Amino acid sequence: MEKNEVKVMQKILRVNEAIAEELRKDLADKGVFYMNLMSSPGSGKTTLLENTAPKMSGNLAVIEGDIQTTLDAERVAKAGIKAYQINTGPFGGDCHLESSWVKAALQEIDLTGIDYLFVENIGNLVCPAEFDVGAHTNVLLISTTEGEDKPLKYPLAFRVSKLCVITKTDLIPHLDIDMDLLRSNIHKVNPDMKIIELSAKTGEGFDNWIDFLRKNKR
Amino acid sequence: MHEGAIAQALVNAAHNVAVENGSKPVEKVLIVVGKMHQIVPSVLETYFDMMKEDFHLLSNAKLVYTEQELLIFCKDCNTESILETYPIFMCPKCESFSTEVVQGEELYIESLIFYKEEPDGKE
Ligand SMILES: Nc1nc2c(ncn2[C@@H]2O[C@H](COP(=O)(O)OP(=O)(O)O)[C@@H](O)[C@H]2O)c(=O)[nH]1
Ligand SMILES: [Mg+2]
Ligand SMILES: [Zn+2]
Repeated sequence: MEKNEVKVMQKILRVNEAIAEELRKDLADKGVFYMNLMSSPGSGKTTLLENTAPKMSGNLAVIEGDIQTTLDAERVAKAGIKAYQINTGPFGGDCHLESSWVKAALQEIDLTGIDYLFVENIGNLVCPAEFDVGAHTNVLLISTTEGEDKPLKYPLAFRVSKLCVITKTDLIPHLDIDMDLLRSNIHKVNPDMKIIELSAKTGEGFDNWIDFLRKNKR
Repeated sequence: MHEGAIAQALVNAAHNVAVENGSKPVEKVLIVVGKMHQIVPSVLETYFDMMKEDFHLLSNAKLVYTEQELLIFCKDCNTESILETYPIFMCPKCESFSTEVVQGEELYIESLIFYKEEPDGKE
C-alpha cells in the first residue's frame, strides 16, 4: 500500500442499504408484509394488484413507481387499494426506486390496518435489481410473452428475488413458449426460486398467489 | 441508468472519506465490483467524471475499477470454484445446483489515493 493511500472498504450503496434495513425492521414490527414487485414494463404488475385486492378483504397498500403519470396509482385506487405514486421524472427520470424514496412515501401513508405493502418498481429488469428497497420479499414477474431466455439475460433480478410469478398463462396456447425451458432457466439462475404461474384474466393459478400472501401474513 | 445513481453514491462517499482524512485532493478512487452487478464500467466512469466536479477534492480524481470474479462454494462436493458458466449457478466439478456465492456480489470502495504533497509543503 502506498503511503498516501487510505483503506476504505466501504459499500458504495451503504446509505441505501441502511435505510432499507430500517424499513425492513420497521414494517416487520408494524406487522406489515412488504413486497417489491419487479418486472419489464407490461408484465402485469398493476393488473396483479388490481386482481389481488378483491380477494384480500381490503388491507393492501401500494407505492407505485413510474417515471411519469399517476395512472397506475389511479388504477389500483379504483380497485380499493391505498395508493401512493412516486414519479422519478422530476429527479432525472430514474429507472429504479431507492429506499429513501420509499421511506419518504411511507410518511404520507397511514398503515393502520394494513397487512400487505407493495412497491411496484419501475418497469425494467436491470436497474431495480441493484437497489435494495427494504422489502421482506422481492417478487419478480415475467409474462409468458417475454421468452424463455430472460432469466439468463437478467440474472441479478432473478438472484435477488425469492418468488417468480409467471403471468398471462391464458396466452400460452397462442404462443410458442416452452414453459419447461422457462422454468428450467429460472432454476439454473436461482435454484431456490419459488414459481407461481397464473392468469389475471381467467383466474387460473391465482389461488397459489393468494395462498402465498396468506402464509406470509405477519 | 443505474450507473448514474451508483456514481452519485460513490462520489458522495469518496468525498466524505477525503474530508475525514485531512481534506487532501484525491488522485485515485479504487473500487471493487463483483461480476453479479450489471454495471458497465465505461458508463460508470463517465458519470463519475461528471459528478466529481461537484467536489473540489475529487475534481482531479481517476476511477480505478477492479472486477471481481464469481466464486461459488458447492454444498455437495464441498469445493470452491470459479463460476465459468455464469449465469448458470452450477458446480463445475459435480454439476450440483446446491451452491452459494462466496465472491462476486461486492460493490465497495477499496481505498483512496491522495496526491503527494508538493515539495514546498503547500497544503
Ligand atoms: N391476457 C392477459 N393479459 C394480461 C394479464 N395480466 C395483465 N395483462 C395485460 O397486460 C398489459 C400490461 O399490464 P400491466 O398490469 O399494466 O403491466 P405492468 O406494466 O407490469 O404494471 C395490460 O393490457 C393488461 O391487461 C393476464 O393475465 N392475461
Ligand atoms: Mg404498472
Ligand atoms: Zn460440487
